[in-house]
Amino acid sequence: MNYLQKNLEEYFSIPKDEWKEVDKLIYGLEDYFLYDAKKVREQRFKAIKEAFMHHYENNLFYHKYCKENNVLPHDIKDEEDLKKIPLIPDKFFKDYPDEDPRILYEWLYRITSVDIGEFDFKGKTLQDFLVWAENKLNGIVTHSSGTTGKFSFIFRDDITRRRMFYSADKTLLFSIYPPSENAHIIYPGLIKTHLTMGRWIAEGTKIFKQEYRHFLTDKALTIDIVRLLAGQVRGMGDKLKLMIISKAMHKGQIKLLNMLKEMDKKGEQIYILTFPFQLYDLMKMMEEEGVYLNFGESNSVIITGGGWKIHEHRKISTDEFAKMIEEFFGINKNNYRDVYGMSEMNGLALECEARYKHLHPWIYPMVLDENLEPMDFGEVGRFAFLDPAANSYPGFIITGDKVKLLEACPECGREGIVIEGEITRMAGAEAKGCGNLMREIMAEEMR
Amino acid sequence: MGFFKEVVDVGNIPPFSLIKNFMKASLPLSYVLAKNPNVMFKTVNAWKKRLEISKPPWEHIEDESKYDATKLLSDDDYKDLPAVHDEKYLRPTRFCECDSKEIRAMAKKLGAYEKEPLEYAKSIFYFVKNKKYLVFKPLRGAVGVLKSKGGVCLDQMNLLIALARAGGIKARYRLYAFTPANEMADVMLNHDPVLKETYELLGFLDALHGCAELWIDGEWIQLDPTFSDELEAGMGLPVAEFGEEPAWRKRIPERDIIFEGFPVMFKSLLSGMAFLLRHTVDKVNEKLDEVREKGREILNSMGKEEYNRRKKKVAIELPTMEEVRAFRQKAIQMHR
Repeated sequence: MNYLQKNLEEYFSIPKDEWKEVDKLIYGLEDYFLYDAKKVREQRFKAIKEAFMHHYENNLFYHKYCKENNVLPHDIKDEEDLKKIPLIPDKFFKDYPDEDPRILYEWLYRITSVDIGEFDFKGKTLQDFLVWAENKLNGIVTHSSGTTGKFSFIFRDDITRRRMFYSADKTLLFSIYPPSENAHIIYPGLIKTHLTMGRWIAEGTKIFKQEYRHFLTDKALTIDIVRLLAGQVRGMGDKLKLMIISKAMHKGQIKLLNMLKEMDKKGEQIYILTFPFQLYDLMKMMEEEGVYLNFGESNSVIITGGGWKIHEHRKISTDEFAKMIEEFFGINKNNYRDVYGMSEMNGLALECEARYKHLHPWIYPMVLDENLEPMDFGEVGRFAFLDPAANSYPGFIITGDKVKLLEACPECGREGIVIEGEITRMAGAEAKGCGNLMREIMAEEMR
Repeated sequence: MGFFKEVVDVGNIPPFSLIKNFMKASLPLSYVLAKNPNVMFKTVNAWKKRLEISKPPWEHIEDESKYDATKLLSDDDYKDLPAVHDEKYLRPTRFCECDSKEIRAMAKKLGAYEKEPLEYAKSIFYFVKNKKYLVFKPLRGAVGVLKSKGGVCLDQMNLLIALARAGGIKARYRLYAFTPANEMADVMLNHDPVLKETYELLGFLDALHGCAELWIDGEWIQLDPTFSDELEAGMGLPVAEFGEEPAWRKRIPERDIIFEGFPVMFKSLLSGMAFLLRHTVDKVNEKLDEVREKGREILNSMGKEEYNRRKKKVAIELPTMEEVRAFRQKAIQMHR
């Protein structure tokens, strides 16, 4: 066991005597994609039923919502009944009445399934409040890009945070090609933020020693600057901060490229986590400068996530993208994977070599039609899921993503329900994500 | 209220914030138009089409005679018309011709002074919401909307406010900033490069939309009749009933502009935009007709109630803090 595995256990595991049913899958399974399917399916049912009971008993809004929908815990008797569990639209998480910290706290108090205690916040800004809330929950608080005028806030408590990052690290870092003691983790973005991807990367990569973690800049991206980028303009102060960040990120990109060249020379193993278009931009920069690296021999890995969103017009196929990666980084296409995740979901879908995205075994996925009724495997519709790993909020969510699910991967022998093909946004779903915001920060310098 | 404030309130001087908002929007719009010359070519064709039939190039040229609601009025409806008031929020103002005989006759037909104010407000709200359509065209005023297919949201407000005032209910305008719900953006913005890019540059739409405020039982009630039931259903949104917040937009707080009378110059500013965006606006109007047709089919097939039941099955109401505390207390006691 190297230091990374030790840290993974130390930072994100839950003592076995405190395990719930879902933890038997998250912490008990040796491999998330190779397992006894029948046993795991039974365990998933137990986990979801237990989670449903937890939210029903501890969350008044969900308790009432279930009653209004005439579904009570004792109605869930077998796997088919899971489809009855009332689902919450992802837009719900932006339905807070006001951004005033006290009002936001009261909203949080009313939507969480755990007691968050009294309001003893002494700060002034919304940013301070997010930090306060993280400390209060001993968890992690993230917000969306706010491009529809309102942010979506997700509050994860300690238990949810541990489950999420344990499974994410185990999947992304240890299931493709295990990192050595000297592996470097690189994210070409910024992590001093509560914006979803940046905050996740900050938390998930803390199992690495500080000297092995590399980001574009250590400048902070506060919610006010994000608001400015989302078009909800505030004062000149934030505009100035944005310019500073933008400049720092540009410098960071050049520094990153030089650093990659050095690492390549030394034959070091790297793990790059990034949005696809960020990597695309980096490769375009490498093309202009004639930089071609060879990280293949060090068994380096590149993982993309978050989709192309508004950069759809520049989207290229995964195979073409893999070829570009091979050309510029020398990384074999099997060591490049795309991953699908949702800001409300504590689980992922990792691509196999055949480019099918395998879902984590505790997630019960569904595809819904336009009347929000479940459809069969093979049909295209709105993605929804039951996530028993969510402890602080009911993780039974309807998303804005359009997917096609298959019961099993037709290509590789691994287990798990898979998402086939491209994931697009449903009509009416928010198209911009936090990745686009990152790109806008970079573009800011050119304005 | 001071003299100057009063002059602004009745619309003889446009509010400064309104002018500022228009200026702010004009730069991104000009930039996007310059970036999309092919759209301008199409717009020139749209102008030509109008000039050939001797219409101004910004005009909406659909034949709207079949939508003329004054045809619903009988001679009796024009007898004993409600009185015209000169009180603030009851008197006629620019584009709000509550003193016209057609508006007063329609107010009478819809129950003015016969029904309770709240019931009358519901009648006029549903009349404007469902008998008049959202059509992007230059401002016509309340009578113009009554006699045609409908108008822009602001003109629908004109008609609703005029009917309210004609029925003795004080009414005023409230403009606000909003971001469209994604369903609305898909219909109105995302298929057109000019609108999409301009919106993305602006981030949200400021002071181009609003609601009517009616003074009923001691409070201002906000009503937005812009989207008909069919349009909401066609977009896949729940149908908003009287007093409900429509789902097609999210308001951005603290940017509201309230006034009694429509500001001078507003019509010219909107006509200018209609002129520049004529082709785009024609396309949006066509799209709106398509969506309404789709919505009509949906509502005819399952009925509004069933449609709303399905759409609202995910409507979640939050309990109060006190209720949550009591619930948690009870849960703790049960587990002991």
